[in-house]
Amino acid sequence: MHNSVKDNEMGTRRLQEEYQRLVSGLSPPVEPSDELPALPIRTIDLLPSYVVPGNIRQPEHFVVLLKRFFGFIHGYMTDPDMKHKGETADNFVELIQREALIEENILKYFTHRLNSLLNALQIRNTYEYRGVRILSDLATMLGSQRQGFYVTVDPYDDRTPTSFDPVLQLTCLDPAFALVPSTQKFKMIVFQSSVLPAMSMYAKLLSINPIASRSFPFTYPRNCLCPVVLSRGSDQVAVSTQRKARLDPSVVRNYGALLVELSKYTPDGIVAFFPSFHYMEEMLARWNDMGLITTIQRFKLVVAETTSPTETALALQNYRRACDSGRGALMFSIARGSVADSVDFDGKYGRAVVMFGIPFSEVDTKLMKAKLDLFERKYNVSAEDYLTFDALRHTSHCITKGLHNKRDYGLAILADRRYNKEDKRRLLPRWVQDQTPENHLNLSTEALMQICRRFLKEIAQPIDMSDVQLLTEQDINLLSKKIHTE
Amino acid sequence: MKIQIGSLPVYFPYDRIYPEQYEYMVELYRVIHTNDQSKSNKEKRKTSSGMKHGTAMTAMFEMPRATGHLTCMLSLICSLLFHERETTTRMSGNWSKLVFCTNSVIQMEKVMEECKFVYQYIKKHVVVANEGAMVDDDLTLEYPDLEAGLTAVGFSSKKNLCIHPSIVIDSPEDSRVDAQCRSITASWIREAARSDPTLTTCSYYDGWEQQEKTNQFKLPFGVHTIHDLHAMGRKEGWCPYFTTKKAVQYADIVVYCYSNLLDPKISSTVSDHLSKECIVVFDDAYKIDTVSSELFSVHVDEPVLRQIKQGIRLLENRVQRYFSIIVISYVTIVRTLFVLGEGMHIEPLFFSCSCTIV
Repeated sequence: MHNSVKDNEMGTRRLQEEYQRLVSGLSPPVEPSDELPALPIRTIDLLPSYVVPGNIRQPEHFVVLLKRFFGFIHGYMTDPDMKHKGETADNFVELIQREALIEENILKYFTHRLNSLLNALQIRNTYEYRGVRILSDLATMLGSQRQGFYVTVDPYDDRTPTSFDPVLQLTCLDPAFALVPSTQKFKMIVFQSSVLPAMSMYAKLLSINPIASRSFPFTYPRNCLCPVVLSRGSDQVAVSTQRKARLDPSVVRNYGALLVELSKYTPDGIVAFFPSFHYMEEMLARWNDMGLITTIQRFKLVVAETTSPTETALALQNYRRACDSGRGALMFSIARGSVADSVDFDGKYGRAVVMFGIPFSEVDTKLMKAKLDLFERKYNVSAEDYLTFDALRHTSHCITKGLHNKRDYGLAILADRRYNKEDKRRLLPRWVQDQTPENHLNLSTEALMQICRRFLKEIAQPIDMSDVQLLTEQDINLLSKKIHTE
Repeated sequence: MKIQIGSLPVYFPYDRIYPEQYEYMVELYRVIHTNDQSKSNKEKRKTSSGMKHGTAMTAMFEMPRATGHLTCMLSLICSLLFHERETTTRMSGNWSKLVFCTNSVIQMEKVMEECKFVYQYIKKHVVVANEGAMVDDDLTLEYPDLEAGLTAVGFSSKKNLCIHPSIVIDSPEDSRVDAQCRSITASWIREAARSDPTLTTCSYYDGWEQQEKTNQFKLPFGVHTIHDLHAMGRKEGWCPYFTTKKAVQYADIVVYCYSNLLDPKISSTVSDHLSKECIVVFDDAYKIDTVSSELFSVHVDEPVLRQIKQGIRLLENRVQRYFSIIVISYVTIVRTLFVLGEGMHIEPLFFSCSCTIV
C-alpha cells in the first residue's frame, strides 16, 4: 500500500514536470536507452520547434483526443455501406476537422506528445502501445504533409467480397518524396541494379537528373540465358493472360502443355510466375481437372507459394530437397510476391523460369487511379507507359533470378504473345535483349521446346576457358595507354 | 591485380578481369571524379515541369547479374578511400565515405562478406607497397598506435544486434525486441537497479555507456559483420547495437537497409549526422520508387484497430491514476493564488478540464 502511494506521487510529479516542459517547449536530451521511434516526418518538413499547443498538454485531454480520433477512424472504416473509399489527404483532414472536431495543427503534434507521455509515465513495454503509435503516426503525417498523399478504405479483400475485413491506408503516391532529403544533402547517389529498364522513367519518377545512365553488357563466349517468347500453342491458338483471353479453355490447355513439356526435359528446378494469386489458383484448379498436374507429377514435385509465410517456407524447403536429391521440382509463385522479392534460385534451383503473361497491377482501384493521375500531372508520365514499365520490370526481375555466376545458366520463358511487341521487349534489360535473337520470338510450343532442349544440351557441355575474354593487368595497362594517347 | 584508373591506383582482388567489370569501374570513377570537379559550382537545376532537383550528383547503372558488380564497386571505392587517407589529411578536406543501402539484411551480409574479401586483399598490398613511406605528422597524432586502415560496419535493428541472454527473439517484428531492450536499459530502471539488485539490467549497455563517457573508443580498423560485432561485444562487454549506431557516424563504409536512410522514424537517430561527403549507393534499386513510397504509408486493419483500442485503454488507466492528484493540487494552487490576489495567467482550457476530480 505504501509503495503504490509513493509510486503514484512519483508518477504525478513526473507528469507535472512534463507539463512544465511542454509549456516551455524545452525538452532535455533523452538518453539513448529511452529513445522512442522518431516522428514519421522528413527532417526538411519538421517544425523548427515543437511547442505543444495548450489543449493537448494535459495528458488526460490528449487521451480524450486520441479516443476521439480513433472513434472517427473506426467509424470511417466500418461504414455499413461496404463501399470502397478514396480521398486526397487534404479532403480527409477537412473531414476530420468537421466530424471529429480536431484541428489540423493539433494533429501534427500527436507523435511528439505520445513520445513525451510514454517517457513521463515511464512505460517499459512499448510493444503494448504499438497500435497507439500507428494511430499517432497517422495523425502526425496527416497534420504535417499532405501533398501527394491519399487515403483509401477497402471494406473487403476482392477474393472474399462477402467477408468484412476493412483496411484503411494512407499512401504516399509520390515516389520522389522519400528521396528528396537525400538528393538535397549528399554529394553523390548511385542507383544500380541488374534490372533497370527505361532509366528515363526512373529519372522522372524520382525527380533526378543523372549525369550518367549506363547499361553494361554481359561478355561471355556463349549465352547463359535462353530467353524465348511463347506466342501460341500446338493448336495455333494465341496465348495470353489478357482478361478476355486468359480463361479460354485452349489458352489454359496450351499453358498447361508448356509446363508438361518443360517438366519432361528440364533438369532440376523450374519456377513458374503468375501475375496474381487469384489467377494462379484458377489455373491450378483447371489444370488439375484436366489431369495435367498428375502428368507433371510424374516428372517433378509440385509446390506452390501461398499467402501464409510458413506454408511458403515449407514449400521452398521441399523444392530444394527435391532438386538436391533427384529429378527436381516445379514451383508456382507470384511475380510480385515475397518469393519473387527475396528468394534466389541459383544453380540447379533455377534451370528454367517461366513468366505467365504480363504482371500488370490492378488498375481499377481508387489508389491506382490517384497514383496514375499524379504521375500524369506532375511527371508527365502516361498511365500506359507507367503500367507497362512497372509490369516489365517485375518480369525482368523474375526471369533473371536463375542466374548467379557466369557458370550458371537457365531458360527464361515469356509465355504471352504480347512479349513479341517491341514496346514490351525494349523494357527488358539490355543484356537480356542481347541474348534474345530473332528466332527466339513468336514461337509455338514445339518450336520453343526444340530451342530449349538444344540449349540445355549445349550449355551442359564443358566450356573451353581459353575462349573466355578475361583481361590481365597488362591488357588493362595497354588499354588505358591507348585511351590516353587517343 | 593493380590497375590505374585516372589518377587512382585500383586494387582488384583477382588476376583477371572481365571487360564489363573494367568498364563499370571506369564509369564509376568518372562519375565520382566529375562530382569532385564541380563541387565548387553547385547549382540547382530545373526540369521542364519546374521541379527543383537536389544538389546530389546521381548516376544510374544497369549491371547484369553474375558479373561481380559488388566486387568491382567495393574495389574501386576502397582503393579510393585508402588513397584519400594516404595522400590528404582530414584537415585539408573532408574524406569521402560510402553508404551502401540494400534491400534486406541477407543482402547486407553478402555485401559485408565481399567487403571483407576486398579489404583484406587491398590491405595486404597497400601496406606492402607503402613500407618505408613517410607518415604524415597529423595522422600520427590522431592515430598514434594504429596503422592506416578503414572501418566498415554493417548496421541493423536491435533484433539482429542484441546479445543479451534474456532477450527472446520470437517474432520478426523489431518492436518486440525494442520493448524488451527498453525494459532492461531504460534510465529509470538502471537508476532503480542501484538500490534493488533483483531488477534485470543490461551489462552490455552499461559497458557501452562507460566507454562513451571516455569518448575515445572507436571500433578498430577492419570490416565488422554482424557476427563479428556479436563476438566483439561479448568479449569486451559492450552493446553491439549502440556501439555500431555510433560507428555509423565515423566509419568509412556503412552498409544497412534502405529504411535506415529513408525512413525518418529510424534515420533521424541513425543517419542524420552523416556528412554530405557521402557516396550513397542504392543497390538492387529496381523497385526503389515503390519501396520509398511504402516507407511513408500507414496501414490500418482489424488487428491494428484492436491493438489501438487496448493501447488507449492502458494509457487512460495510467493517466487516470496520476492525473486526479494533479487536478486537485493545481486547483488548490489556483484557488489559493486568487485568494491571495495574485493575477496569474492560467490557460482558460485548464478550467474546463479540471472538473473531473476523482
